[in-house]
Amino acid sequence: MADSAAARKKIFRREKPAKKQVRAKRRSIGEMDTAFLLIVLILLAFGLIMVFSASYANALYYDHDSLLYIKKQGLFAVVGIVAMLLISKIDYRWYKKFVLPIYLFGLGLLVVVLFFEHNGARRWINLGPLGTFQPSEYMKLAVIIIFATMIAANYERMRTGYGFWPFFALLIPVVGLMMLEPHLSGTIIICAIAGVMMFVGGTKPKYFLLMLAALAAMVVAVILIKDVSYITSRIHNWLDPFGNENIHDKVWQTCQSLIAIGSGGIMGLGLGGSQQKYLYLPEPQNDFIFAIVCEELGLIGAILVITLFVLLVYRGFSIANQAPDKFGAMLAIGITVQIGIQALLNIAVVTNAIPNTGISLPFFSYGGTALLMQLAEMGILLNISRHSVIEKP
Amino acid sequence: MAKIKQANQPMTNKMKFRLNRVVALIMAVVLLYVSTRLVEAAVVKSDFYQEYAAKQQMSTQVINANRGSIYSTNMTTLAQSATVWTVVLAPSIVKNDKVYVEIAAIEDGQKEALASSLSGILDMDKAKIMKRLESDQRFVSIKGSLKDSEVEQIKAFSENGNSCVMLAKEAVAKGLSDILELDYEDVLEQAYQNNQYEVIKKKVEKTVADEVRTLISENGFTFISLIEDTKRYYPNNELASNVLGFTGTDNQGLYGVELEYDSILQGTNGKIISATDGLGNTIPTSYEQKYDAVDGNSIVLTIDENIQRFAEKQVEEIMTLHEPEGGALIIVMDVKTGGILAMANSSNYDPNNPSEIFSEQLKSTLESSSEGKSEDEIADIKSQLRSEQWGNKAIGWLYEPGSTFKVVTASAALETGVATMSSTYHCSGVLNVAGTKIHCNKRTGHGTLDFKGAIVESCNPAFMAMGAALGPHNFFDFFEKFGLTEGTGIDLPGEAQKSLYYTEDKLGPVELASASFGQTSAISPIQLITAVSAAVNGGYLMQPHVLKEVLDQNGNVIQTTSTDVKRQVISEDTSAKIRECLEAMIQKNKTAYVKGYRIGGKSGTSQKANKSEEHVSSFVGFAPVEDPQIAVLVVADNPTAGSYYGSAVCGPALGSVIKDTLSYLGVAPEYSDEDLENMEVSVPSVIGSTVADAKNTLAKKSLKIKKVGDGDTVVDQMPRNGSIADGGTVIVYTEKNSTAEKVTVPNVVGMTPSAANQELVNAGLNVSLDGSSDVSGNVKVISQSVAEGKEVPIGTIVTIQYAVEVVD
Repeated sequence: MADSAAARKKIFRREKPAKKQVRAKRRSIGEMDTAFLLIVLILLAFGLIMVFSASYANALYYDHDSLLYIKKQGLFAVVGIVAMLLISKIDYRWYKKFVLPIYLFGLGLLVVVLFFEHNGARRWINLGPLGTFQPSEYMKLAVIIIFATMIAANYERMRTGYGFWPFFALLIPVVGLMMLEPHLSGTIIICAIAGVMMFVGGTKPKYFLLMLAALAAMVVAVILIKDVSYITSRIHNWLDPFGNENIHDKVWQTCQSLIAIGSGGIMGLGLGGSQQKYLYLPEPQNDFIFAIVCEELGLIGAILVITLFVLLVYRGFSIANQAPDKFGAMLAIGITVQIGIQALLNIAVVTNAIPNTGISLPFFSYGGTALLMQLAEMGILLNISRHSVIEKP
Repeated sequence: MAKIKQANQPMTNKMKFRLNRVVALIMAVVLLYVSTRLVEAAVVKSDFYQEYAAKQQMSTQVINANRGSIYSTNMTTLAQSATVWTVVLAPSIVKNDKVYVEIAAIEDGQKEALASSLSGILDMDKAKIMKRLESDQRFVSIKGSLKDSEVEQIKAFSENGNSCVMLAKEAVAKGLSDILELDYEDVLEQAYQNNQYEVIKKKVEKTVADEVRTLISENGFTFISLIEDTKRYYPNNELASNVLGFTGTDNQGLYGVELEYDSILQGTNGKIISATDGLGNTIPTSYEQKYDAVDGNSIVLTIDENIQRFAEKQVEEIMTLHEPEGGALIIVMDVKTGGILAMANSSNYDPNNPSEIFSEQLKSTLESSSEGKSEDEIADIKSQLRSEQWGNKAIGWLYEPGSTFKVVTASAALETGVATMSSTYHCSGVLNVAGTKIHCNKRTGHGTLDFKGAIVESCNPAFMAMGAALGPHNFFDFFEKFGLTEGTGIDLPGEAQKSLYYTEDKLGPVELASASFGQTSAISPIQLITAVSAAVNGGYLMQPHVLKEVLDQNGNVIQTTSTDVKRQVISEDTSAKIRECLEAMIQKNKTAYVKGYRIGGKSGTSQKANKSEEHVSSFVGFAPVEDPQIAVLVVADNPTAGSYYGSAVCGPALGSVIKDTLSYLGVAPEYSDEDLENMEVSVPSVIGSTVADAKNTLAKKSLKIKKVGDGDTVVDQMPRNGSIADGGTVIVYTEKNSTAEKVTVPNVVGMTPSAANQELVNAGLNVSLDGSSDVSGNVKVISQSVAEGKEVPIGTIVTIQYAVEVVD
């Protein structure tokens, strides 16, 4: 305990406000990146339309109210936009002051969630009328903030062991708690965000190789503990989901998703024209909403969605590049990468490029609190963009 | 040098490189991989997935095409399809936690008591239960979602003398078994199955199906469904059954016309393709494609319902009088077109229920042959008898035609010129053919006969002489030309395609001699009548057929069978001579003689090749001689009662069918002087003779016979003597003490003599005419010997007086 407290002191030692600037000129408070805002709003609007279309049949059949999902999601979107705009006014550097409480609060939530069981996993905290909340969503932001703080403060030492071990220590409880839920996909995303931030921050590649080796060892361990046939059947189901006589439960979502994409073809069946949403694809408004996009709007619509995400990542990276300080840059990178990775992995799952695991598509998948978190993060990015500095030639 | 506070500086170039180049590149590579998978699914494998999508999203509901009807040539319906339903239960959906009361099963005055018992068990308001019990439905539901304990209590209560109270499965089983007339225990067992599709009953007709519908709607029994199906109906039951055939459970034709024209009758099933959701429900307002069923076309047969009835009646008559072991059959053919007007078989059946052994003869065969047999053996016998009754002996059976075949030999002889009308033949009663003695039917010999006499007397030596004169080549040539070597190609399944005969090279003198008078070769009845038709219709061998025309769904004729002449076998002139000879035969042999019509014909009695003690009696004829319209063949296979001669067994039936048919077809009778003299015949006494002989005796006088009682010998007759009008019926009593059936005499005064005659005959009476022999004028009956309303024994003679009506 004493050691870690000392380490913490060392880590946070240098985070004192800067007094001098050499090559950059800071505007006190500037205009936010309107292009980025526009991309976010387009994605949000697109997402809402698709939630309505995808949820229509399920809402009608199970809840007898075809507008049920879109009403809730719309409400969260409105609240989210207001929150985003308010947060864009809050100086991002302010969060540095609360970095430890933010992190510890996240850990606390991850403990609390273990007392809520739903669908055989403990990933959601029930908030009653507000719906459910995934602590892992919050944890992603918490990790981004604390990593950004540490990278910025310790930049000179990132090429040494300091560039790895403190980060590793912070991730261990997060990964441990999330595997208890269990929540593999969330863990992978947090690790991926953390990895990207550390890599950009300067952590030596050998540590990543070390981690990959450790991961490989763990996979082998899992294979040894679990049945080999379980692993082979999972791989078989992934590589050839239609290889069985019938579409069984294990491959149901994947197959229905592929059928939806295939049905859409290049031009799609037209907005609202999905057949797969009629109780074939389970919960089409959630993780597999992209399949409905493909079915209704075809490859064209899918490319449009991908392009919007690419633009979002591009603008996010621009904001990072123009951030006045390393904290802002790393924060922008973390948030941008989070959205980017999630979108990529989601589409990978929907197209069966990777085995099925629960990853939602930002701005599209149904889920009010997740949307709220995403919009809040966009608010932070927008605030960073207000502080952009233009490099001198 | 002051160290720059890196934390407060923007990203270094190295960081920017790692972000903007390395991280961006990695993400781009991943995106590229994911995109290829996306394109693969959306474009490359799109067809595969679309096929899958269609398979799971589209449900196809088959609409059965209605099978076309079969009509007689008179446009009466012989076969038609009607909608029926299959009742299906989904037992796994029936939740057994609901309690019902069967209203009708509540004992009188027990409603109050029942209501209070139930209110106790179910913890419900008694008044509420009472109100439900006042319903007039079959069942009322009292309470649903029962707890396990309540279910047990209800079970106990129900078993304890309150069987009107039952759980859902019991109620369903009770309701269905009552309505569908099934065994309750069987249905209950089905109701306790754990599946989704239990067929309770098939081919349920509309009225019953409606009752099931009421049961469903009144009680919300949505787990019962009715699936449409069709059923074939044959409104005339056994009429022409061997021609019609029948259909199987999938409405496919199995025998007869149903099989022959299955493709025309069947039509094409339609379907409704609709989009369904993942649970199999149709998605409303969504894609739905309907392909209408194309109903089958209907067909009209050449079979005439009335002529068919005449023929069937005569077949029955032969069966009762002569009990032919192999049955009897009659074919009536239109000699000008080859159309079959009637085809009657004694081994018929009811196509509505084809599995049942139908005819009396086959029933008794079944009975006698199943004695002391195991169940399996009986089943074998049954299936054998079934195939016998489903077959059609008129086209599928080969027999030695006997003397009826002489028509062919005579035609060939005349046509080739080896014989003329003035040829003479000498018959000593036996002929030595290459060392084999062959007898004539008249052992003492016919003496010298001319050509016509040879036919009239059916003299075998004369025909052997004709055969010898023809020689094997000519004989076989005509045998072939008359179409006797191959199936006629009639449009019915089951025709014998190969007859038995000696080819030209195998026809030695003995074979040729016996073949000349109809032995040694075996042909089918349809072949014989087709050949005889050709001999009398001017020489044209026609294509026999039963299909007259095909009608579309709106009744428009879309196909008509054309009259198809296969070839001209003999000249018009030869044909005329044959007609003359055959008429002479009928004139001489009176059994087939009918007053008012000129009939020609030839009888035949053949010995079976392998069983010489068995005979086939037959008679082929045609009428009217001056302009032949119909040919009739009557065959009885091995008659066992009375005479076995073709003329005696089949002659009366032939005459009767011809007379009925011609008068039905509107051919006016032309009475010869002799006929007119004999318009009234004196009734001979047949008391003491066998029924078969009595029939013969009476038939020679053109009198009909009606048998009362089960005996074989006539003990009494009515009328006993006196003379009655032509075509009258003599009632013969075969048992002593059998009470005479009484009939009421109708009023005939004021009617024309023929109408009066008809009226009295219909009433079962005989008529004696008293008046001028010219009955064609404007005459009316002025009195009747027995007063109207009087009860007299059937067959009593009523004398009617008629006179020219004078209009004042």
